Amino acid sequence: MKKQYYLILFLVLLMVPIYWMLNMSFKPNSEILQQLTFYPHEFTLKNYQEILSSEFWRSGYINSISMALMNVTFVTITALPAAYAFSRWNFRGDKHLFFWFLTNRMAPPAAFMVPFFILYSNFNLIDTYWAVALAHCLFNLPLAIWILEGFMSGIPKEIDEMAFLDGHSFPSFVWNIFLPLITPGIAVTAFFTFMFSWVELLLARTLTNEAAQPITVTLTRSLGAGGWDWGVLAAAGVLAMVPGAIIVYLVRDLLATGFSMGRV
Amino acid sequence: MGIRVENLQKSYGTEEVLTGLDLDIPDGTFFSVVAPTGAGKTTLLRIMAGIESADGGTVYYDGRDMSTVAVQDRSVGMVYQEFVNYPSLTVRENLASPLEVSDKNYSRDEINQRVEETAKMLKIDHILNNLPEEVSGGEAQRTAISRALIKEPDYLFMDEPLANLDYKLREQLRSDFERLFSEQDTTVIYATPQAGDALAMSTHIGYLHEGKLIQDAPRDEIYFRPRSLPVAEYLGEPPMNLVTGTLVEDATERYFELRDGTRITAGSATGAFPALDAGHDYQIGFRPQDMVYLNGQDAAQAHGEDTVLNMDLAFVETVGSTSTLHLDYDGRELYALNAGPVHASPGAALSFSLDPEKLYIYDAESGDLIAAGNKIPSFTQK
Repeated sequence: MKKQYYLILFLVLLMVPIYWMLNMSFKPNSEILQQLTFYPHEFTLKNYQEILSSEFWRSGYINSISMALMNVTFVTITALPAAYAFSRWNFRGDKHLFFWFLTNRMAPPAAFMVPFFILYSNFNLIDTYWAVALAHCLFNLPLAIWILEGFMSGIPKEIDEMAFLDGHSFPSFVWNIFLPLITPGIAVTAFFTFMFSWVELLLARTLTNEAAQPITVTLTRSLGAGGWDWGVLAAAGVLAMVPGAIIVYLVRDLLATGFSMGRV
Repeated sequence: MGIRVENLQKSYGTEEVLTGLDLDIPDGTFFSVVAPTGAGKTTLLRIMAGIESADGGTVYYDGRDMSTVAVQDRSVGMVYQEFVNYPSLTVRENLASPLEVSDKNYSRDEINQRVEETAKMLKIDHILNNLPEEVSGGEAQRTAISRALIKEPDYLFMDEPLANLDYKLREQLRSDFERLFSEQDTTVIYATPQAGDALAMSTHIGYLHEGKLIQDAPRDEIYFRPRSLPVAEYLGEPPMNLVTGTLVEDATERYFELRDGTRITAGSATGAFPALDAGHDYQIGFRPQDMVYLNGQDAAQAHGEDTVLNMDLAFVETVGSTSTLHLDYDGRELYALNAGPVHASPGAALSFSLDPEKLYIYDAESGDLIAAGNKIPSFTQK
């Protein structure tokens, strides 16, 4: 029993900042700045109204979602065949290549900031969804290949052979037999990929100006003439957590399976 | 015409698995490839089926070189030692899968009908709507076999399909195999380390040794005429007994003298074993069931022609009404079969009579069969 109390205590501690943000998002600035209140005394939805009615904020969300989805699409489409190759075939240097992919993930995004900026400037990609979605591939692709390879290696190679012996062509095997088996793996991969793309700030900020600016960047650029609008910022923060929460809720069963079977 | 394999070679790194293997499998046979674990049976089957490529050599189906034919375009089925089914599909969908992707364009009704029929044949019609993980090992393997059989392949490869099943299921499935394949005209290529399984089910048996098939022949022929020592020592449950003996010839008698001085008559009366040289060492083989156990009082009155062997008992294994006696002789383990229990404790000296017309004589150096006794069923050598 006692252990459970500790866990609950720990959970409460973890939830404090989130509660505080939620708390702030329903307060007017005057209350936030002037007194310490543990729940909104002057409850207001004005902060949310402002965000939902302002093009500035709304485009941030749309940009973020678009980029993250683009990134998830690129990464999944390219990581699936790559992971299949690593999992099923032996070729010269396969292990080194695999490890080298992973090392990309180890580098801090800042290391790639300048090269990306110069490169994308030359190709006129700055301030487009493509810029951020492609740049995030550098970090997400290795992770995705690594996770998917783990899932695929958990599926006996005999299944592939069996399918070919049964007369399945390669595409038919992949579609009818293989993909259904690694659905949890794809869900886990997509989840991590999406979340990275959703929260990443540095590259997104460097590679966008206004048109393609995602919500994380918007949050840091919302300093108005009257200083920081704390209530609106808090509301924006709450809304920024929503997509992640929705995704986790939708794929929670797949994630649970995935976390218990693959390489996560 | 069947499958013909010529000069097949395969190595993994420095380990040579197949070293110029030749093989002929006539159509409609149940051909067992027998060898101890790790001898390359699986590799041979995989190459013949087309899921692995050989380093050299050719596989022909009905005289057609299959080197460039993709596995999808071959009329083959495969059953693995592990129960390989599609985990995300129900048993019914598993069975339907090969028909659905077949280029014969089966209709829905035809597929359903075939699935039902095959499931009934292999007694899995009650689990058709379960997922493979929900059924027992025996049922999972039956599912895998059904899926391999449902498209009626010309050749069905089975790689130790009974190895992961418990005794009772093995027996059941084994008798099902015998029934199934005597009805169907599918050619079965069956890999197993179990000599007993192979002898029970096959029409033909090939013995794989050091990367080659050192003998392949109809079942009775390979059993009654094992051409070389490795085959003799492996095919049989328990295996053939082998002892070393020197041929002695004097004016009146011709006999093998064993290391402990025991004499085994060399069948001079019937004229067997003509091509032997006196003074040479030979490996003398005899089947465990040909060693007749003599109880104390019988020992004195053994048949005149028969040889009496005295050996120390290591231990007795009694299964039901048959006892397998494990014997210590000249540093080797020999076996004798006896109907009914044997009451003797380990270390006891036992006597057996042996009919000298049931001996196999092998060259001690080359290990080749030189002669076989007159009372062993004979085969015209091809």
